[in-house]
Amino acid sequence: MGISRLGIIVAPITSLLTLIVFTYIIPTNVDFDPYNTGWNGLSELANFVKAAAIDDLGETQPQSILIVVGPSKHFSSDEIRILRGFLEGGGILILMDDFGTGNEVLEGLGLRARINGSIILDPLLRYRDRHLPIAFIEGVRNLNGRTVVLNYASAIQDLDPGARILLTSSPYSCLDLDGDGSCSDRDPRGPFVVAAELPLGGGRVVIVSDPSIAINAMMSLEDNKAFIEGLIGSGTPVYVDRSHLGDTLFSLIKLTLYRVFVVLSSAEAKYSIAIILAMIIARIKVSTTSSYRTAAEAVIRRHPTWDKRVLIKLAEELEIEQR
Amino acid sequence: MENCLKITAAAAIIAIALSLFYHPLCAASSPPRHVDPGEIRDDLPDPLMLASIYAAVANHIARGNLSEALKELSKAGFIYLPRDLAIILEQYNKLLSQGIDRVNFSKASLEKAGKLLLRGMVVDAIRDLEKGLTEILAANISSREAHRNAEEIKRRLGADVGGASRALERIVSETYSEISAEIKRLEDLESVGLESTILTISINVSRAWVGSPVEIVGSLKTSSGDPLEGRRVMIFIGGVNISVNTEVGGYYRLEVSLPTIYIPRISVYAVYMPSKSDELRYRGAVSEELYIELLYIVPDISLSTIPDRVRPGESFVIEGVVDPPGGGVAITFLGRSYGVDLSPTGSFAAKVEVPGDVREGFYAVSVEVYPRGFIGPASASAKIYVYRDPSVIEVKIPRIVIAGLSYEVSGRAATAEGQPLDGGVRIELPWAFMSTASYGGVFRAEISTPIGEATGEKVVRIVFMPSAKIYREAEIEERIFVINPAYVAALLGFAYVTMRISVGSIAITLRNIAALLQRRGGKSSIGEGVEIQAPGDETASGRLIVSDEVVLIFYDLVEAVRRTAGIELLPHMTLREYGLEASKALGGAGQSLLRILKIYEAHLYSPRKTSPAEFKALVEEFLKSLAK
Repeated sequence: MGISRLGIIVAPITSLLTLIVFTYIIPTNVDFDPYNTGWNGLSELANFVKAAAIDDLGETQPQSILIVVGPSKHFSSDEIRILRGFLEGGGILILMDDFGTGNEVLEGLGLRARINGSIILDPLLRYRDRHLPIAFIEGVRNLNGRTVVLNYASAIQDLDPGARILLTSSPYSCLDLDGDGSCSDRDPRGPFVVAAELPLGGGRVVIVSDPSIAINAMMSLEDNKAFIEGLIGSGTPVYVDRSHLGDTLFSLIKLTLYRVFVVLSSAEAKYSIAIILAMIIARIKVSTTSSYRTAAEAVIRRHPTWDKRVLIKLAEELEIEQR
Repeated sequence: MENCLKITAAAAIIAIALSLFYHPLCAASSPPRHVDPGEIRDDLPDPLMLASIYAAVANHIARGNLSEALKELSKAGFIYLPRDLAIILEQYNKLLSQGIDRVNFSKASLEKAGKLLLRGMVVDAIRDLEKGLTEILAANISSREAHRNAEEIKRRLGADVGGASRALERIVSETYSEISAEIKRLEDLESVGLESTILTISINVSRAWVGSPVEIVGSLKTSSGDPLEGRRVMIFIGGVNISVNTEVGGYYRLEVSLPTIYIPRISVYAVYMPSKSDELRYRGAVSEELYIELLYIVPDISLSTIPDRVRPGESFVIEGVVDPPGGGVAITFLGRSYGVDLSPTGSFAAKVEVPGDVREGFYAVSVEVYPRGFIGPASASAKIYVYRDPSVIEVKIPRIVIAGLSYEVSGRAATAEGQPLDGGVRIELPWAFMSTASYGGVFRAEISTPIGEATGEKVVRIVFMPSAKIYREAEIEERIFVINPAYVAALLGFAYVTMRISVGSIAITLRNIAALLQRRGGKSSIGEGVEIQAPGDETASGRLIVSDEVVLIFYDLVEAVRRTAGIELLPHMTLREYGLEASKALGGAGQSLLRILKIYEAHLYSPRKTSPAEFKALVEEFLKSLAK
């Protein structure tokens, strides 16, 4: 069975294009990504609070709500400056993190509060497993005493004076400092603060030491959705940050594709591509039909005294010869 | 074409499979920040902790704190168990909750019956108690049922949760005995038949200074107007109760001082509760409720702070005057309280420390005046400004840096007057935060530029945090230019490729024409008397491309035919036309020419190629025959 030359060229190109299209179509699987419709995504949250996903913290409007969920990448000083300006302008920052880079934000904003980084376990008041403890809502209108299911949560420590506590774990919970997966004698006992609100500048910072309460698989449990709704309220523009989410190979490929599209859609790139394509087409045309004639004309332009007719005949001969 | 389609289809299927395959493989999972709650296995609760929650419920029940017991029990509603066990535990909680509610109701009926009894409403009291008795009997059933559930939970989970149901059984039993006994007592009273009593009260004033004496008088008589002498009547005045005995004619009189409480008014009323033999003769009575408006002075407070601005770690004096002087003052500042005595003229002064970690801004100092006699409580506050002295920093930082290399940043920290300052220094780079410290007013740090940092101008912020809290933080912003060699190389490479693409095609074709001309000895075979020099100097590189040697040999042949027979290969001619015309003119040698042309034609247009050596031998043989 012979393989045509066209097949050899077309098959890899088709494969590549198909891969690109499918990579583009299949939703991302990154934790806490508002475009991720899987169990670990935030698509449900983004839909019900009508949040806009942003890839740059500078894209927020003043006096809006910015949700930073599960940040894994470092925050630069420029970004901290943007967050400070956002809060001074009356914005509300909801920082939901457990083991990520959320403490960089707290430090950068000059707050004393920190996310501890150890896991809260509850052998008694929990959903299915001790890693999914129940937390009790305080200080949120119409929700006091209701409950939220946590998922591998951490605790907030060293709260600043004037902080308002919003969510605490049960007295039966413990902070697994030794990391042995159980509540040993050395582990401190609850209740622990899981969410708190702090006034800062003209705005507010809400710290939640468990970003997972907002993932798609957790939103339907207990009052998780109502709690988040209570934090956000209604009528204020909401933004969800994507720029600090962790990467997977798949997401990196998607991101690369996205960036390529962004670059290609810039005016400079469009004009450059158009020029290059025009040149390629022209070259193909010259090389397949009249490249020698064009070359002969170029020679005539340099040597006007030469006989154009003879040169063109020469070019045609050469073309015949090449064929 | 069919093969091409097959390959394309296969490639597309492979691509789809690959894209579906690598998608789940690429999921990040380490370390886990959460688990899918739908995928995890149920984990049974710790039996000891489960028992502890019900032990707390039992404790509250035993102490009679039934509302607390219910609150504690509500926590048990959040205990997650597999469905079969959850049903048993839910039922246990429900029975406990019902039992506690019923005991609560029964106890409330006891209390209500007591109040009705005071008003002589014995029948109503008995009716309420009977309702309470019904509820407590139901509670008894709930507690027994709950106990059976507790046994089952212990059997299946190993957790002894039965303490709560046992406590419930005990309180049910106690309440039952209490209500039964009260019903019996009231039924005895009812069978005897009680006479109503009338209790009156009056006060000599409607407004009075706090603590001043007032006179309270009244009487206690039966409904038929007979005075009840020597009976104890309780007077309730502003939450305080005082007893007094009735005298001749059933009258009572009492002179008391009004309580020193500073509220607008207080209520006064009297209560008669029959005791001993009266219990079987008279019903209790409550007088009407009277009110006394209380009078007291609210003092004026004037305050000042010296100085009105202070730095963290320092102290200031708060002084003021209370007019008229009260019973002393309490000063509160940033959560700390100080008690201060007042001078006879009402003036006071106190030294207040400012904590070292206070931020800059206005803070309130509140003063509360304690009441004394007719002088009531009062409060006021003053504001003091906490400030810090400025600090300054100077930084030396390279203006241009190369990505991937390290550089030193150094600087000095000092007061505004130039005194060196110690403290922490935070360097906020666009790609990282760094910390260092200033000793003797000098700091130094090495910053490394990431190898992937893009070329461009970057902002670096340096923040100095003085150790001495009396100094303010200082910050400075510097701009550096990062040059990334990889980016520059990529740009140059792109420029070079673009240039090559744009000029390459003309150069290549020029070279080919030059090669053709060279093959012909620098002369055209076309056109009379026209000579063209080979444009070797026109090529871009100066290198001439030697084309197919067979073609070169063929053109030597054509030139020989032209010289010998005057037949030219014209541009419009095919090889066959040329061959026919030349063979006619060449006679016998024409056949050889036709054979050579056929070979040449096959060489040009078919896969059958001839070697230059073979072709050259043929042509040389032809040229020899032509010469003959």
